[in-house]
Amino acid sequence: MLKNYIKIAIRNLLKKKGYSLINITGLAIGLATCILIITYVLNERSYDSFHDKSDRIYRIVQTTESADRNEKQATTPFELSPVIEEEFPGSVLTSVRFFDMQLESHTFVNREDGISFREENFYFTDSTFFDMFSVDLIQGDPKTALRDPLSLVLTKDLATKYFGNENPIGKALNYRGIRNMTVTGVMENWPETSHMKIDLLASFSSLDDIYASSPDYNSSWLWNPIWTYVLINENTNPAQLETQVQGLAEKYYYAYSGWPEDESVKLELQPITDIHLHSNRDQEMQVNSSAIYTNILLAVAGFILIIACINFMNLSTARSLERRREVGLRKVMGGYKEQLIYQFLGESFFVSLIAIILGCILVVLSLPFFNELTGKTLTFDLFTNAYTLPALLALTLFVAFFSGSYPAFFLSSFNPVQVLKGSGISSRSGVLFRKILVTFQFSLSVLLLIGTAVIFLQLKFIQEKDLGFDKNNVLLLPTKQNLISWEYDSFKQQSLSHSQIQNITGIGKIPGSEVQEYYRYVPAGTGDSEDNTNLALHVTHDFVETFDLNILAGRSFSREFPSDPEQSILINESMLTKLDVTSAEEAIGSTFYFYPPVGERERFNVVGVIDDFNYSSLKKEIEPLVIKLVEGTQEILGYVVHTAVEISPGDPSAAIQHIESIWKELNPIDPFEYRFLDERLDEIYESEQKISSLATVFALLSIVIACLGLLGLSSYSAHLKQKEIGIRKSLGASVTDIVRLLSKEFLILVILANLIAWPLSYFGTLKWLENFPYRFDMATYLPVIFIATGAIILFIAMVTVSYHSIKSAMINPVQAIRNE
Amino acid sequence: MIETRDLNKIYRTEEVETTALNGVNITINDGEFVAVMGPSGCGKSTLLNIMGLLDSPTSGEYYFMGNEISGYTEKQRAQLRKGNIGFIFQSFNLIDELTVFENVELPLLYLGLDTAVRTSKVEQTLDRMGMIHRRNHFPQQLSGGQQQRVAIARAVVADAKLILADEPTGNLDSDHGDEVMKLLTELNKSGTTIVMVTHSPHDAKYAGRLINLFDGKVVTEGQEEAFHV
Ligand SMILES: Nc1ncnc2c1ncn2[C@@H]1O[C@H](COP(=O)(O)OP(=O)(O)OP(=O)(O)O)[C@@H](O)[C@H]1O
Ligand SMILES: [Mg+2]
Repeated sequence: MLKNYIKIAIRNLLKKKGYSLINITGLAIGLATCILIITYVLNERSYDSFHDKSDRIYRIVQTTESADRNEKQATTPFELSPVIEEEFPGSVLTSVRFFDMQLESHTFVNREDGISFREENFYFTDSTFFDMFSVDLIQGDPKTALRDPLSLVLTKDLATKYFGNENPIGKALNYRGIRNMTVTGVMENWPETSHMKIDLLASFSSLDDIYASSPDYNSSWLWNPIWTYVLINENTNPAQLETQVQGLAEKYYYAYSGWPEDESVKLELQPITDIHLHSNRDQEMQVNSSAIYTNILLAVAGFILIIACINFMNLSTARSLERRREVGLRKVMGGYKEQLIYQFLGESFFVSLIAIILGCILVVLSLPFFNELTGKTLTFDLFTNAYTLPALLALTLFVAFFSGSYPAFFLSSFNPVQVLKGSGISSRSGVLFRKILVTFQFSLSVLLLIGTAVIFLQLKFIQEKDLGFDKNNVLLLPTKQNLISWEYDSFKQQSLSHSQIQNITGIGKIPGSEVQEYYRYVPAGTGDSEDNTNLALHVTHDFVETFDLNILAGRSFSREFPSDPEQSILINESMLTKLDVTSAEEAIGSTFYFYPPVGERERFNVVGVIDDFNYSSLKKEIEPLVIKLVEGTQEILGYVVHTAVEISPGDPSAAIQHIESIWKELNPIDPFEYRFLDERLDEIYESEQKISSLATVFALLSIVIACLGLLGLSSYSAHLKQKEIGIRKSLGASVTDIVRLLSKEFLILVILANLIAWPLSYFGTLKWLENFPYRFDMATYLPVIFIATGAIILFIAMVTVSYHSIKSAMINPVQAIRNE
Repeated sequence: MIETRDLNKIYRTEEVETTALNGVNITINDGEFVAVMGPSGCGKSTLLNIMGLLDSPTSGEYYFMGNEISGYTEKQRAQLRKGNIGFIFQSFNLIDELTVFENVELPLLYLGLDTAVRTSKVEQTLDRMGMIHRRNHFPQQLSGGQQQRVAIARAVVADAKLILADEPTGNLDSDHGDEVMKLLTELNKSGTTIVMVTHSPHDAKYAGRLINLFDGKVVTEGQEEAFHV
């Protein structure tokens, strides 16, 4: 019997090659998309689970709250880790700290071979690192590798980078020109599926050596530059531990002298496996991803699979008319209804199986492209993971059952008497159901397309939005605690000798980037409340000029006023609301006080008011801001993080070469590095950018699949109506009349689908856009998007439907009638 | 073999109620060859479908091989039908996707017979119908008469006790029609009960008895000679 079923299934597939092709291709594309997305999402969800003890590793994070601010930070003070180990010896087995000196990158030099690089993924960490995290040490002893001061462990790749094929153990690397570190271990490359990126690790005890001159460096509870991880006991309840840890706020934070009175601290435990998708705090080690996006993708995968399954359902029910005789006969011969249901479900499974095999091939073929799109190195093969094959089988079964059950029940319920009489079941049966499905399908496609358009427009808006400063043609050189600080003025002077270089300034943070730095600059008269802070930006001369900021009143910092570094500040327009003034002019001369952590308050006068610009990313709104001038090597070392170079438009390579040669002359240690400001700012929206390109691809695919279904249905409908077409034509209908007749029913559905999708997409995208304080002009653009997507889909659908309509309309009527 | 008592069949649609069978009492004995005649729409096919357990009567009793079946479920009727009743239709009703052999094999598959048994039975039957050389052809590759012979083979392959034929010669020319009638007569001679609906008095002559239906009622019933004046 099975053989008979398979035979008839194959012959049916071969007999209607067109339908089978549509059915299987659509399903295969849908399944491939699904597999890709699931692979991606599983990868995203697997972050940090490669640690054997991942279920017991938590990161401790802190949120500081005061009346007007709430800062969620990923980092904690130095002392938290030892305190926790001491306070909760039963619950916390060990803890590990990470510290990066708050530098974006670190220079390492192999003096012997004269090789130097800047490393971004370097941390000082505790010797317990290897107890907590699961990464293999290829050379060295995990117990001692990070014990002694100035020990260095590097990854396999890094070892090769600095030492080639030589054995790196015992060799020295110079750290930032200040210390020689000795390589004590080589570890496997740190996995990509981690919220951390690690290339080099130095022993935490090195810090005692490096900070020998200020032995109190780690005692402050106000300074929190440390990432703290704890490994908890197997039977410790993390929620309970969290409340216990919260108790430390009182005992240590608030008890610390100088802790602001109205500020409270909330300490939380984050499971390490949750960080990548669920943590978006200040000072994250890396920019994390977000569960919103994996969820959106999963929804998209579901949509596409449903669209593909609907094709299958629709074409099978439509085709069932042709198979009703077979059903009738099987019943006459004594076949039970259940037997027929099994037969058709079996056929559906068979088709799904072919589709999933094709789908897997598609996945393998498209994976490189997909990896490029997502910036991942995903792999797909059936055997490395024991769950892959069963999961694929489950997917096949789901698709087979989901798309096969309706046709199966529909077909098997045919009454043999009526079927064999050739009546009873008209070509109209199941039509309503098919119409509903097509509408649903296209609604989903429209939804995806509108979503894509909204994401695209919002990103474009963000990229093109005037930030209030000129982000183009600006070069950024990392200069934090850099040797160049000693020669800052001559570096600037010499660089400016190149005709293309227009302005140079040092900045404490990159304008438009995520970081927010609050300092205690407060307007006089608002009381000398020490808890009052404002955003502040430290700059050297020519900041306003380099970024082409607009001065509303007063003046910019100037060398003509030698007292500027000690007495003058600039404020932005938003700050006016904190002052008791009616105009920018009036604000000139206002007094601000700066309250340093120790010592007397310092007095500053406002010398200029500048137009608001986006100090932070566009994910945050503009806040009142103080701009402070820094001058002299000590201040530059303390505050300047980047040097911004404004270059005149055109090919920048000559100018860059010029700066590089000067840099190399003045700074033999730190390698010359640069990047463009606009590119740096684009990175902030990387996850949105990724989602945008993924969504575009998937929205297009969904339309392709839906149209494949429409192609099949319209061809079927044209086939059924051959006789009607013949009769109409013999009565004088033109080709256009016929095409209209055949296309109308489908196009109405597509229009209906648009109408259904509009309100849904409106509320859906609104929800996403709430993440952005700055949004594109929805009132104007949403109707345009709606109409445009509607028109595009309608057009594609029309082309799809017309293909068969025109083909059948052209048929000689005599032939059409006889063909019935 | 068959006995009906006061059999009624009423079709209800939204607009009209059609009485297709109206108090039909018929007895057909084992080994009979009965022809059913009557004007179009008088209920012949309806009667045949009920006899063949494809349809159930609205009221009345129907005894098939001693079983009263009016209360049977669809599944029970299918069970009883298997192997006992063979059908022959005016439009042949072969499955296009199956070969001649596979079409004939179908009833045996539903009976759950072994491959070997099935093959020998199918080959035997096809041989008897003179179609063995066409065993691997598809229905579209055959003439109408050949297709009907395959259909007959399919009806008898499972050793059906009863063959129900609804206008088996309706789509055939007279030569091919006669061939089919000869086959049916042979089957009848070898013990199969046959009930055949026909519009052709010529074909009805092959039958041993004639039932005349008019407006859902049996009007005359008797030996074939009696009506052939
Ligand atoms: N499914 C149905 N629904 C409604 N009425 C039906 C149905 N099937 C048959 N009828 C009606 O029942 C009556 C008997 O139909 P039946 O098919 O038995 O006639 P027939 O004698 O076989 O005619 P013909 O010689 O044309 O085949 C007809 O009036 C027909 O319209
Ligand atoms: Mg009839």
